[in-house]
Amino acid sequence: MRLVNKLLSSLVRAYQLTLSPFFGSQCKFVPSCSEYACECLKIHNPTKSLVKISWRILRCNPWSSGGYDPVVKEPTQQSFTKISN
Amino acid sequence: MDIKRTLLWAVLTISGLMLYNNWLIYDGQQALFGPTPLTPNVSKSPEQKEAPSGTPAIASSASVPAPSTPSAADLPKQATTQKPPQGPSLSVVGLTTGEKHSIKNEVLELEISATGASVISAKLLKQLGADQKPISLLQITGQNQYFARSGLISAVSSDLPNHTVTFALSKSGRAENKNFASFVSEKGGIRLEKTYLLSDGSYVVEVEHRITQISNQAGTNQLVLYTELVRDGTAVSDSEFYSTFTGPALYTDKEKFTKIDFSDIEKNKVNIPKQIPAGEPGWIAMVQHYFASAWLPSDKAVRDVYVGKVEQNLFRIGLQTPINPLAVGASHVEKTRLFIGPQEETLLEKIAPGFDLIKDYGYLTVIAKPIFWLLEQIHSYVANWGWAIVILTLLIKLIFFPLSAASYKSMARMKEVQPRLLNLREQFKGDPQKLNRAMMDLYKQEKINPLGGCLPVVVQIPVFIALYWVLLSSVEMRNAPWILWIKDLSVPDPYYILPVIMAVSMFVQTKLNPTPPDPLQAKIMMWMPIVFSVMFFFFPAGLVLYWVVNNILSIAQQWQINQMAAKRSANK
Repeated sequence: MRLVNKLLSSLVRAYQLTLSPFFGSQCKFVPSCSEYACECLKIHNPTKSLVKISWRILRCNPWSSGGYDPVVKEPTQQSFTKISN
Repeated sequence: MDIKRTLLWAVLTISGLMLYNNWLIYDGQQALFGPTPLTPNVSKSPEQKEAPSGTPAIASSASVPAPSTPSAADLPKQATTQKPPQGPSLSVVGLTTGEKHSIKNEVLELEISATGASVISAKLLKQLGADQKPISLLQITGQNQYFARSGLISAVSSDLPNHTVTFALSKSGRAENKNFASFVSEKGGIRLEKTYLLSDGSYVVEVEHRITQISNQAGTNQLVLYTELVRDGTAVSDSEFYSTFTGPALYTDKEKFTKIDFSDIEKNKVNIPKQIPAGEPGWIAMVQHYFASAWLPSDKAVRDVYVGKVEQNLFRIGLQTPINPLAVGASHVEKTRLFIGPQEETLLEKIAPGFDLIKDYGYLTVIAKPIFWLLEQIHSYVANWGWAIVILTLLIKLIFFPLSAASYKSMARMKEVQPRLLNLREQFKGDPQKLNRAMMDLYKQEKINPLGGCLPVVVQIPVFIALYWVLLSSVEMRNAPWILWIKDLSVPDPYYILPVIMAVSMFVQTKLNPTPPDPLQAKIMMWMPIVFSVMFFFFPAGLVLYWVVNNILSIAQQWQINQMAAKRSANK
């Protein structure tokens, strides 16, 4: 893992440990946005990771249905499992 | 990557960053997260060269080489070489020892030295310091040097009425609701009469420079009027726990507001517009927490901007306005304005275009401005900044209510299924994919779909940070009481009541949230209220008040949702 990736994912980790408990579990996806971020940084370069993470956070809004959305190496093969209410 | 190592990495990185940051501050350099005080010993062997980037030559004499032998009393760059050499800080000493005159209104008291007719002291009579005495913004003391000066130079002669020559008081008094004082000096065939006019209740001093060519003994040349602000590089630091900007700044129509760090001037790394084109508004300023001073010239001519280091730990920003050659006996009056006062937003807006930007909210100006506007609207009804903060917090909470209510609801349910979730974690320890699937199934089964999502949280963060900047940078909070023991919202709570309430409320909040499955996270969560409250001990009371109100509202909301959820599951 490259240094920038390491640094970024430790920042995410710091967020998970300190701030996240105060916001509560808000995420509609599995894995959660912050877990997704860490996974992303393991596979992709920082720029691509940032794009993917931003897109993920944008999708994690009150109008989306969330679901199972893991990081995949090929973005075209993304699989969604929607949950019905 | 194993989880323990990530954790260690995170902890190490953060403590490393903090250590590095503190070392930077200790070393007198710029902190990672904001500007910090420059200690006077920044460079011990000053190769005192003027910043070439910041000192433009006059329009007409761009070819005149500038001397590189600056001294304390050095003129803006194009002063010629015949200047008598002067030792460092001689000019500063001369300013305080000579004759002084004062001019005042009910908000501002200026002291003007005979040397250069410079403004060497400005007391803000309505802004009291911790000692209940008026704040001296401009002053010359052992630690602080901060003054405003102006004068004439030309490409040919340095022997003109500049800030080193002695001026005589020619007249003073009151006319048209303005107190005024005029100072005169003659040198090199030029007479310069400087008049300071102070309207009642105003922080803006009108400064008139009447330039008269009395003889052509030295020829009639293109003159340049310079107006500059000089300040030591010591930043105002009210607290170790937050930092605000101290330093020069300028505004042009094109580049808008630009701040300049003292450390960049030191390193000759200043990148600013060098000129304000004719007809466009522009100004230069010296900014610090809550207060500022600024020269606001008239728009009609091209004005050159320069910044530089005058001497060890003494910096300046100035403007040069060209004055066309005058015939013998002819006069020219150059009017400019000198602002010295608090950064009250409504006051600033009226002074010049973009002048309200002097009150600096940083990157979040777009969000912070409407927040301050709203705060001020509320204040005009309740007439108490403390209550205005409480009501503003309520309003923000209301706006985000639909979002947070939904997520609190799902959090309450999450708490119910927490034991089952922990079971699943045990069951699928080595297989995160399967665990995630199982968790989703559980959510599906229990109909938990956290409605909020991460986006609302991410959106709220800038709003909170903007509010923090609003409360931190608003001079209106100075000496503004709330209730009972809070007499000043801009300083820490004297009895630490608010921070303690804050810690308690945070503790309660952690109890209401589901315990994080990660044991380390759970442990950190127990410690966070303590860490936060220690920080809040040193924060301005207004800020802590906002956090307390916000937290109490969150708790009330969450508690109620928990109750409702409990009732529902009991009815099942």
